[in-house]
Amino acid sequence: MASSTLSYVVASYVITWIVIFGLLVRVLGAVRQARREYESAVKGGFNS
Amino acid sequence: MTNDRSTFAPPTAGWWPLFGWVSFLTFVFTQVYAVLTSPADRMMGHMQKMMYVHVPAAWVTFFAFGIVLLASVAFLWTEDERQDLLAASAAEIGAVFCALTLILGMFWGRPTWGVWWSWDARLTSTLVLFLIFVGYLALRSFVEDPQRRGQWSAAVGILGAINVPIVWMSVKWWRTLHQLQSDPRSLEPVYLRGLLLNFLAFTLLTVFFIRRRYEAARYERAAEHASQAAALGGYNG
Repeated sequence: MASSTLSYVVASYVITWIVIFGLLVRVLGAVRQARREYESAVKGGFNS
Repeated sequence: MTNDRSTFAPPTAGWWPLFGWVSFLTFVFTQVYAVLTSPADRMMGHMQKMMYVHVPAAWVTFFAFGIVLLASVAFLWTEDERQDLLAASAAEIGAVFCALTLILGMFWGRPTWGVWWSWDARLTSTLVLFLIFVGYLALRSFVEDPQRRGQWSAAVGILGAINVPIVWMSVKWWRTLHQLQSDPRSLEPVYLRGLLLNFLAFTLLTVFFIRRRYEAARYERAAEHASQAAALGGYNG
């Protein structure tokens, strides 16, 4: 019984950490990609 | 709409990467601290440790949707597009934490109540809150005109945030399955310390996520503006 309830606790922490890491990767990736797109758009503007 | 140069000026990361590191290390520390220092509860045993992830996740959901409310009102008031981008960033992060709250609640409910889901007032109102913000994000992807998108999503954002006090009060108004909010005075200090530290860590992380997502949104908007300006320049030239 104790080990089965413990598995729910462990699963909760694993899910939380996956979500936090996922958000970290997603948000930082979005910043990097958006900055790259901005820089290429500005470069395109100068070249036109 | 306030489409001055500052709206389209790309933001700077400034000290936010450092803030991110501090937030993340605080999160790691508070999670380990709470798990290692809290003894098994007399009633719930080790299930009590779920409190350090489920309750802070619910808190930052409310916090993020509070930012949506303030930024949406500010957008309708000032028509400054930056407020709209801030509201959208907070809605995105808030929706993720709302989903996490629901999932963690299910993992707590299964061994406690014997079911993964119950149409209890707290669970149902939280699900409604989540669906409103999924709708908010879907709406933003369907509307192209920035001004109309901002106005419509501000209306939905305000409507969604009004649901937050309903979710909070649901356990008092409708006494169903979900327990009442724990009163900090009724919590043993050893549990309260871990909970408050995790509140802090989750809040820092949420501020960081929202700020960086907002930064990305500002870059996206600045890139659109630069492309439009280049196209017009090319057309005129």
